[in-house]
Amino acid sequence: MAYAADHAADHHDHKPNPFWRWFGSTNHKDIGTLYLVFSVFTGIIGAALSVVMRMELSDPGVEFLVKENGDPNGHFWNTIITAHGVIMIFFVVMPALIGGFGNWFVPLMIGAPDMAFPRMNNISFWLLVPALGFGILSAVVGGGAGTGWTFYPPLSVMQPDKMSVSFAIFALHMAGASSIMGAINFITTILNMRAPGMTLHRMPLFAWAMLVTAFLLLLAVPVLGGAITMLLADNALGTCFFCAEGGDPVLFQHLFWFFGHPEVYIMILPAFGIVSHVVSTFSRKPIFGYLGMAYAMVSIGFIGFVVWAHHMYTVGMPTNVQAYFTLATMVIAVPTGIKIFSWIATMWGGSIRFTTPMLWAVGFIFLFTLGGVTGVMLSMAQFDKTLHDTYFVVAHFHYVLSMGAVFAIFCGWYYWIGKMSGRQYPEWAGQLHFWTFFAGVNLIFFPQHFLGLQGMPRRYIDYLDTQAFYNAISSWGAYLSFASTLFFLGIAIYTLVAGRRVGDNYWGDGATTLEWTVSSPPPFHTFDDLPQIEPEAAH
Amino acid sequence: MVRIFKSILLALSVVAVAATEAQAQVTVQGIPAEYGLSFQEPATPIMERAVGQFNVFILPLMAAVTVFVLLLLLWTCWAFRERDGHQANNVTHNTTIEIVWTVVPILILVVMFVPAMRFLYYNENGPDMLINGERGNDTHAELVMQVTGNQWNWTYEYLLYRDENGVETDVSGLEFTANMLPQDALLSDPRRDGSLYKGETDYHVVIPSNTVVRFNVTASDVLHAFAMPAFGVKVDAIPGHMNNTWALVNPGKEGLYIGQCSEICGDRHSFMPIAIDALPKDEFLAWVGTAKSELEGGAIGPSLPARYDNQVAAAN
Repeated sequence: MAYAADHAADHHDHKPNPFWRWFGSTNHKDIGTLYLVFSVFTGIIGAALSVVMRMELSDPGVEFLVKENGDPNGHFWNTIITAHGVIMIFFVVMPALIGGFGNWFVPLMIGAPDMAFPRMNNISFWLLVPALGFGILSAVVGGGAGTGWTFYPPLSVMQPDKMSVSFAIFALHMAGASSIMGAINFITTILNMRAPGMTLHRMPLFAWAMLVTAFLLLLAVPVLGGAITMLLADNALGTCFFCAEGGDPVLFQHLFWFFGHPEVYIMILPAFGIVSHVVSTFSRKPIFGYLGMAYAMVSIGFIGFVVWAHHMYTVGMPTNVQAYFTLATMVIAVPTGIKIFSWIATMWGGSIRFTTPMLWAVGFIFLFTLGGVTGVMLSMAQFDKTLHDTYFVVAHFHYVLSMGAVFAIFCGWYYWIGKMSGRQYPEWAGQLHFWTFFAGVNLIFFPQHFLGLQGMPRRYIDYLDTQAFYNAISSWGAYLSFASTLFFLGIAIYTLVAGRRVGDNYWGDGATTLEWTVSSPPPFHTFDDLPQIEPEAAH
Repeated sequence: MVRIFKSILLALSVVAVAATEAQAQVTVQGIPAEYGLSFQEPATPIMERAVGQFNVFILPLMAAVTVFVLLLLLWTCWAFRERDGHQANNVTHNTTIEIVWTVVPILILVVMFVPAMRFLYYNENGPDMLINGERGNDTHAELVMQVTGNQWNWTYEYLLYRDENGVETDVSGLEFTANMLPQDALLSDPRRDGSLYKGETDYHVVIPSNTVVRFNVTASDVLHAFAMPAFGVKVDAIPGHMNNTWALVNPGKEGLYIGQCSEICGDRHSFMPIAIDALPKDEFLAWVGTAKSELEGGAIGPSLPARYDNQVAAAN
């Protein structure tokens, strides 16, 4: 009887007191909210760092980042680029897409009451906070870790203060443990806790995306863990895994990119999932080629594990090995193309509304295509050597991440904020945010293709005078994007405080997944009575 | 009328004077162009192939794909926008179109893959073919040098020079380290181009044109990357490893080339440029003779090739 009474209390949306609700949370929606708030905070830091970089690069000569004697402080510069990369990847994009939207919407979409391991979910989030602390320490202790986010030895074991790299490694250890636990949680939840009738082939594409992402995390992150633990031993204990005399600096690169390439799909697959739902909702059509879409993601996940050395065409690998990695890398373009065309086919014949989430989704499709074709160019080993480590590569991966993953984060935010908070953003403000951000990021990154073709290397604090023009444009784009991001912060606060209240399914008949069947915001506990999925109702 | 004629004459004479001066200049061939939209002018067969492939099929194909997706997307957005009397259909499958958008990208990739492979294997087999005169090539001279990346400069050691007839010239002892030239030193040197700050080095690497130059690349401390955009050369300098790359500067492409370290290497990563003079063989050999005696005489680096002094003399 006591059990029954507790159960009844749950139905009355009984929340714990605020301290335990937020610091000891085991509720997937609250943990998702924590992740999203966390990534907004870190996102501002990461974006501010990029503004500092673009200010320094806005014209030739080193103006701001100088040592006391007026010389360029290249190490400080390197610290900033390292912090920008680490924060954006591990503390912005992954927490937002996986921890934030994944936690919020995977259980809702598959009709599960919560994640499979709620307490592990809690620790997954709370490990990120000290991880960020260590990350920040790594940037300030002894001048910071100026290695690039790739931490290539021997540079990473020869830093002015060894503590800096050790702290960075601790940060990645914790973030990695957080990711692995999150991955276990998602896999278990998705494989075991789908509502009756929700077969894998009826599961929404965002859940598919998270399932593939979770497997990538589970298989890739431990390899990173091993590599950086060896690096930690080299750095702090004087071992020689990656030193030149009896170890091998290149081995670290192989291990790193065995993780690092799946990592880029870890960042983009959840984005694919979000965009699929948004395109379907606002075209008022079910997704085109559902199975093709799901298995395109599965095959991208598989191939993602066998292409790592295309990041390393200049390390001196045998020609046959380079030929293999060229072939394997090109193959990824095929399932990616299937996804692009299936999104367009979903829109085809629809009745499309261009509200803010749809603008982000259409922007994503085009800009991701642009980043994809430059990726195909870079896949060709010998051709890549003309562009490797230049700004062309910087432009390429920002088109797929900054305009891919980040566009999808905004897309998901505008799509679901009404669901998550019960309050809607002002439409004009969302559209203004989209257009200013779209213009800003293209101004930053499109000219960088030209800089790279002309030979400007990455990670440079200064450049030849003839490259001033496109660098100046790029910097103006960065200021516009940052202003747009601050405007978004204003939209977010306004929405949460004073946004218009919305009902269960405020997007109307296009929105068919299960999260639209519960109230906005959803009750503290959802699906106490499991929904029954009919074949037609799925995806 | 007469005044116009006079001014035209004057303009012509100014152009003529400028042209004579230009002839005396050391041509700066390999630097980024202001407002440049594509690659630098290629100087080697490797870079010619890269630029050729880029211009002829990589860029056109990829641009076509991008523009096709963009136009299709925009047209779909326009044609199927929400409006009165228009209902969304429920089409979610079309086997034919799905096969088309799988097979067509595969075909495009095949079209790119085949030349990419020929290019990759040309990079491996090119030097031997050119030196030995295989596949319709003339025999070519060969220069071997070791390049070592250090924090934050480059050390160059000449190892072997053999001309196209197999006659060797002794280049032993020709070894020096080149640092970036500080701005004041650059501006006060009449032989140098002041606009090349951050690209100019105190000592120049001199290589003969129309010669297969093999670079054996390593590093003494951390990773660096030896890069020369106009040559299509980029290879990592790794402590404990010896990597190889090569360049053959085409005849007529003699001049000064600027490259920059292309792997993050610490505080002065941005300030360890590579400056290479590609010269006709006779000028190269003359420079080798002078440089060797200078280095044997205790100099820490060789002087610039004679061209630079001739240019200053001509200007005066």
